[in-house]
Amino acid sequence: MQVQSSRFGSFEIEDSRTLNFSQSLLGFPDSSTYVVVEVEDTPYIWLQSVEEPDVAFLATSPFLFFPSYDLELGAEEQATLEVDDVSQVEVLTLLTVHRAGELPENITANLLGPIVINTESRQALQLVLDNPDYSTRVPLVP
Amino acid sequence: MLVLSRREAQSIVIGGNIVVTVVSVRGDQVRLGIEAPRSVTVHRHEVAVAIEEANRASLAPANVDPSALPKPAPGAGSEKKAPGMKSGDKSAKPGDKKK
Repeated sequence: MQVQSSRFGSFEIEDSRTLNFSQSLLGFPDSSTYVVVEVEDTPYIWLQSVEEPDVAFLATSPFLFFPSYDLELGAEEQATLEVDDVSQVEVLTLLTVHRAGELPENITANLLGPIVINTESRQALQLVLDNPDYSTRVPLVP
Repeated sequence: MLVLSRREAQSIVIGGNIVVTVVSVRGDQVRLGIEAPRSVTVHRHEVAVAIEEANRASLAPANVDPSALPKPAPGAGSEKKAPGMKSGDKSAKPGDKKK
């Protein structure tokens, strides 16, 4: 599959490497397919929309920066993701860079709405957690 | 907006496959039970708005350089930690869930 992106230009990716969101991210109803673009030598990845070249999110594993981060997959979410074993699951948190040039203080992680991926079925889902300890803007570096 | 009056234990049906039931009414708080197909997401409105706003804010500006972003503290955590699985999933092994 050929992917057009404003950030990386045009690139080729195997169809099997895409992520499919059966429910699109809130606020981005026109994108349901994303590809993961790894950033070498960093814990960060880009989630690039296949449908919208301008839509790309920076993300990382929440557990790297928040070791006590905890979430649970409900039965319906497991079914949506076609998960039958925890080893299939990967979790990402979307990052917000509030003002470029004033790094790293102004990066926050959305711990309330993690992205959960089944790495085998390539199904993905943004959870909306019901946990008052987490917010959508948690500083990445305390 | 369609406005209907309902009492405790009474329901409304939306679209033939979504049932919203008034579970209890206590003072100014109403507890609702919602039965809907899996493809229908149900969120508290204010939470859905917060997530949508956060997603829009996360749309990364063109000049972000990930290699300039902070690295996690050494040994701080493992990327591979898996989430917990709620009951009913027999393949979730003991110890998978932290709490």
